[in-house]
Amino acid sequence: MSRWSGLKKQLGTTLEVPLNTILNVPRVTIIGTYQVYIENHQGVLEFTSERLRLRMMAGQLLITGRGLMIRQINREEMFVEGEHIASLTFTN
Amino acid sequence: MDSWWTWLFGYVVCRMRRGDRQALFELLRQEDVDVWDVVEEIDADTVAFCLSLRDYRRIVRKTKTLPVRIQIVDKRGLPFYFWRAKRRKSFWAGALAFVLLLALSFQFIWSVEVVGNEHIPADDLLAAAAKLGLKEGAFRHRLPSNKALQTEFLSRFPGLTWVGVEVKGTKALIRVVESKSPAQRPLVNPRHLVAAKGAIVKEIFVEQGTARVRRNQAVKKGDILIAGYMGEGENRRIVSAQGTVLGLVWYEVSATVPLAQEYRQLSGESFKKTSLLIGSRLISFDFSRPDYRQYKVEETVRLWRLGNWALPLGLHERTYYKTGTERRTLTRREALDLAKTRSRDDLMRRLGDKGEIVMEKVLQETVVNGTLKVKLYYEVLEEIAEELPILPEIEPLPKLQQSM
Repeated sequence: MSRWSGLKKQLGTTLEVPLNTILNVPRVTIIGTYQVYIENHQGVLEFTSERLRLRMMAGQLLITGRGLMIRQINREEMFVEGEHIASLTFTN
Repeated sequence: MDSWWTWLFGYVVCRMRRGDRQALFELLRQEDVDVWDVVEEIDADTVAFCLSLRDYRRIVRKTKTLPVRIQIVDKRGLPFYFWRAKRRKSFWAGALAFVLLLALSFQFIWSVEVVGNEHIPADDLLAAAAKLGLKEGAFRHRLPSNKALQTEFLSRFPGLTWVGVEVKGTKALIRVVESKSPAQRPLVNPRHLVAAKGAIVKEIFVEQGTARVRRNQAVKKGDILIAGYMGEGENRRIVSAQGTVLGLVWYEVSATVPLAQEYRQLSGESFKKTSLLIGSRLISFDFSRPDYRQYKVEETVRLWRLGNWALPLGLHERTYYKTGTERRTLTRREALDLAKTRSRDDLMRRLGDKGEIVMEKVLQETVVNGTLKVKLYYEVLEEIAEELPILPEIEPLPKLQQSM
């Protein structure tokens, strides 16, 4: 993370503004173990019914589970559904 | 995302076997394609996804250069329906033929009707119209002109004043107006007028025929009053006797009137009961009954209205009027008056209200066991003529020739 974005992050935190609005970071919403809703992703790197690897602005997001499927995907957002979502892992 | 919107514009279900998934997703992302229902199929090296028809057409070329082989599994949506339907040539030919036939069938007259005729049979008019070409199955643009129809009809049917044809869709309406001719008099056959009952002739008025009786002459039933002959000797001819003969007829009527009379009278007490009326069904909430021994019931129905509409709902009211019997003893004179009125009414009813009572006389009057018995004599002035047909074969009876 650069210095500039570190500043922005601090500013956002003090002003209590949702960080995804000022930083180019994903917003991930998880509903139970069934649905994941990701805004601001940068593309799909890997997709099987057990693994879904997404590119993020910085690093990657790995979703593992069972029976994963992409209900809907476009340039900005995607909506993932699965029989069971086991983990979400952010890597650099 | 199986919404009607995507269905309307059509979408395809694609499948990629093996191939580079990352490259596929990268391509879709670069082209800003909306994709939905991305699933890995059971055999694990196939992935299926849906995208709109427009997007598919846009990207399908670009996949050729990439290690991505897309295959269409299913085509869904309205455009595909149309394309499929387009191929069914005979179906469209049939639809077109149907429309054409329907349009053609409207070019013919399917029924001819006549209105306005009262005396001329409709069948005759229809037959005449058919001769001119106005019949069922005629081509509607080749109908006879109104003028031709008018000329033909008016010469053929003298009773017509006007005729016109109106074509309404596939129906031809022949409107006719008949001329009004004076009502024909009922036909009368040769006849005598004879006495219907024994009487004294009081007035005789002959329209046609020869009078055989004079005023104040007594006649028996069957006597000829006005003979259906005119002229004498060689000039004599048979006619239909017409005229009016008023005669005085006498009747004897007897009547009995009990002196003790019973009357039913309202006592003035009443009792009202209201029920709800729904349709033709009556719903009562009040089961009480009046404790009158004798009563008269009057029923009224009041339907509730909603503006001009009478609802099938309303109130049904029953009013019970208490009645009582009253006894009254008539004097002899009152009883006699009652007997007279009754006999008069009785007589007039028998004569069918034709005739006039000229005289009334009490012949006999006795009271037996509280009952008045009277015998009354009436003289009635009434029409006594009755027709008797003259049969050509029968020679006139000698008696007829001799009188007058």
